[in-house]
Amino acid sequence: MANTPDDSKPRQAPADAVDPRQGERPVIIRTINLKKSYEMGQVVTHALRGIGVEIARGEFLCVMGPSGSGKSTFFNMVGGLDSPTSGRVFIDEVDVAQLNAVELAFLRCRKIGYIFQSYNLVQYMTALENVTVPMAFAGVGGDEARDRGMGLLDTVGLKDRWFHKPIEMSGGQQQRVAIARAMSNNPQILLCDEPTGNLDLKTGGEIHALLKGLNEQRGVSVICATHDHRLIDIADRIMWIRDGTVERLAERSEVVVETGAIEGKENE
Amino acid sequence: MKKTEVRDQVSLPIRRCVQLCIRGIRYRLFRSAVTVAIVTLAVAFLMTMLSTSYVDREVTEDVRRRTAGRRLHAEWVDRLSPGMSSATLATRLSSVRPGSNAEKELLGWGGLSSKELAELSALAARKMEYEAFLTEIDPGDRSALVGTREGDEIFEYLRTDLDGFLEKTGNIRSGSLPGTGEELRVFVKDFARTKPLRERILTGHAQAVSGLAEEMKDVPLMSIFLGEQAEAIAKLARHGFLLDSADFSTLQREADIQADAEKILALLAEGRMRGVMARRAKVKVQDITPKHVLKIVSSKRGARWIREEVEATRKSTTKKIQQTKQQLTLLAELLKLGEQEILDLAAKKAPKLAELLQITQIRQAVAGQLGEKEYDLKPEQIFDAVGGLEKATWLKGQMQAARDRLSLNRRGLEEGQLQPLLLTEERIVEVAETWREQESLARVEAALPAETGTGRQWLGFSSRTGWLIIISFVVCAVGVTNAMLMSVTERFREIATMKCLGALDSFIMISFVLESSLQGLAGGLVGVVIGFVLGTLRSCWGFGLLAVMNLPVMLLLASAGACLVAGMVLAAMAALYPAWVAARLAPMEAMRIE
Repeated sequence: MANTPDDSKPRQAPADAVDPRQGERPVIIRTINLKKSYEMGQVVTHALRGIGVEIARGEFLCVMGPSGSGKSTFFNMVGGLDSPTSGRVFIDEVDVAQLNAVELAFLRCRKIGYIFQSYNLVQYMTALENVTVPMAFAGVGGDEARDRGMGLLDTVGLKDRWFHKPIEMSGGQQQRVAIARAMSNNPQILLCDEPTGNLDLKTGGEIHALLKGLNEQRGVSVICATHDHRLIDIADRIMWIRDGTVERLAERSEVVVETGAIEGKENE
Repeated sequence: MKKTEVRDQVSLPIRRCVQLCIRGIRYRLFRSAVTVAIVTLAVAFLMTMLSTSYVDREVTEDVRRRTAGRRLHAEWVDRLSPGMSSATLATRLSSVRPGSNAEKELLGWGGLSSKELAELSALAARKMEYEAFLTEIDPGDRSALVGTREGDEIFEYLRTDLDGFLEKTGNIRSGSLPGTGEELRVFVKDFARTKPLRERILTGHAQAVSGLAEEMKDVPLMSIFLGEQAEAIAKLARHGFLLDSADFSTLQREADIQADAEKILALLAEGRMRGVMARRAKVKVQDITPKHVLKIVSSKRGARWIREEVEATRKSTTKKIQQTKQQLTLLAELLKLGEQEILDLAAKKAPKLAELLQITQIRQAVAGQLGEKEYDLKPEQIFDAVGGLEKATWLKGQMQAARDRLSLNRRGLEEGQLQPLLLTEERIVEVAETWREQESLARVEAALPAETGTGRQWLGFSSRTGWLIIISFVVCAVGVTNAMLMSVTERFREIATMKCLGALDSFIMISFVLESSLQGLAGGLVGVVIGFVLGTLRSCWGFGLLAVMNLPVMLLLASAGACLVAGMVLAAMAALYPAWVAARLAPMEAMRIE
């Protein structure tokens, strides 16, 4: 495992990924009747009203829904950032609710990579330093961190700009650095919260392609919350959330036809 | 299905934390500057107080040490002067320690038992307490209580009207009587009862002084210290004065300086010397003081000049005496002659008679006689003045008056003749310098704050300064906490992102406390330098070069270290709450979009 990310998982993943629709791949995230409610004074808001979903290893899941639908809450639960009111979340067969703060930090550091809409790079660090921060938290430092960080920057196509500060880069470049940072400890899950929300269409498309590439080559499960319909083209499955429940969960093949139709209509 | 292992997250090594912190501080330079400035202020204040306090204490000790010899000398002057006052006696009695020389002396003079002396000592202490009370109260209250009475009179008076006194002390507001009224009643009675004992001591002392004076003949008593040690101690002991051999050399040195200084200052009494010295000091003759003289001779050039002037003065006096002598001889010779013979001399125009005009008094008289101006008078004109027997008689009368006057002058001149200044230039400079130094030390000593160096306060601070320091630190802590809280608020998203990336709560906490401590260290460094400079300057303002000479380097370094630590600890403590707020932050804040 000390080796570069290319070795172990990508080889497993394609083997599993030959036919995603078989449903035989191991489950990486499983939620059981997930509920979350917030009490604000006397009003109780039910953000999630029972979501049960299984996400397979190496799957590309696209989560869609209007704002206020509970999408973000679902995201926080799945990312181990918040605990549910009832129901359970298993990440790689580990019940997140059972973990203490230090174990949660371990989980966030190595199992999950987070990508934010506003990139959230540390402003006073160069691209390379930003990429190596999670490695430092994982106890990897020095030359090894630098080499791995440079490898990741190469993967996202920014090898030549490793010494640039975030302020010296465009939004797309910053998001690439953020993706490299998310990948720095070989996570099994990439959680993307509107990764292209702040980007123009073209750059957004590039980021989509990059995410798909990582998903296919490295076998990372990608869970992507978005409003961008183009993601439907590359996702394995699409999940619609409305009012804290799963409105619809569909394979891409079932959906593409419809969107195509929609786009066709729009084009006319 | 394989269970994934979840272990504890490793914590970041402290070195890496420091690195990250410094990067952060450099990025947020302006925000950091606020914390640094706040800490600088507090530390500078503390360091100023510490430096001033230490330097002042050091100077005080040094001054006390250096004036010890002079104090000892003054004490002995007091001891050897006749007529000890009852106030001096009370001071000596109250400070007497069992087994000390002072105790033995007092026992000897009074022929007392040590029990009696102990009682006297206790009474003297009480008496000084009551006197202090009367000194400290309002002057108006004082005159209401005891009128214009001073010293022992007061206690005599209290015997007659204690009840009235006690009633009045109850009414005054500017102070309260030490002890109870009953204690005062007992004291007044005891004090009156022991009066004979005190008088015995005073008489004994007076006898001892006069006995010593008799043995010393006409020499001033203090010159006893200029002689042999063993002899001086023995001589003093014969009259009941006890001198430690350890003190003798100090007294000798002091007495020596004093005697030599007096020799130099005695020059002021001579008219010509006084004039030339005033001219050199650029003051009017009547304004010249010993201070000017010592200033003149505290340089080698001045010392040489004064020796030359003394010689010149002596020469000019000798010349005057010579001249007076010649004139007296002339007068004596002429006075032997009768009036007719004087007329003959005038007729012959004898030069001897013309010489008379060199005597000022006769010259004036002759000029008056002829109606001429004194400075226009020619020697031959005296012959015109002695025309006729009558005039010769008049001249003889003038000559007699001049003779009386001149012989008086001569005695005056001979008595006023300066002694040669038998001091080398080096010694003159030494004496002058020592004297002037002692004078300035005495001035400094008088100006010293009474409480410095008594060790009553914490680190030499008065309680008020202590409070100011504590308050400055509290204010500073609030300021740092505020600055750090703002820093945390500004960095919500960064902190949350770090937590998403796997940072432990402890890392967040440590990084904020560390950041604050580093800023505290920077502020401390600047503050220590500023504080040291200000504090030392303040001391220099008061003590001049003495402060620079007495810089307690090790102590100041230690307090600089302590101030640095204090600044760091202060900043770290003040950052605890903001750091806690940061560490508690939920990682999902990172998802929030502004």
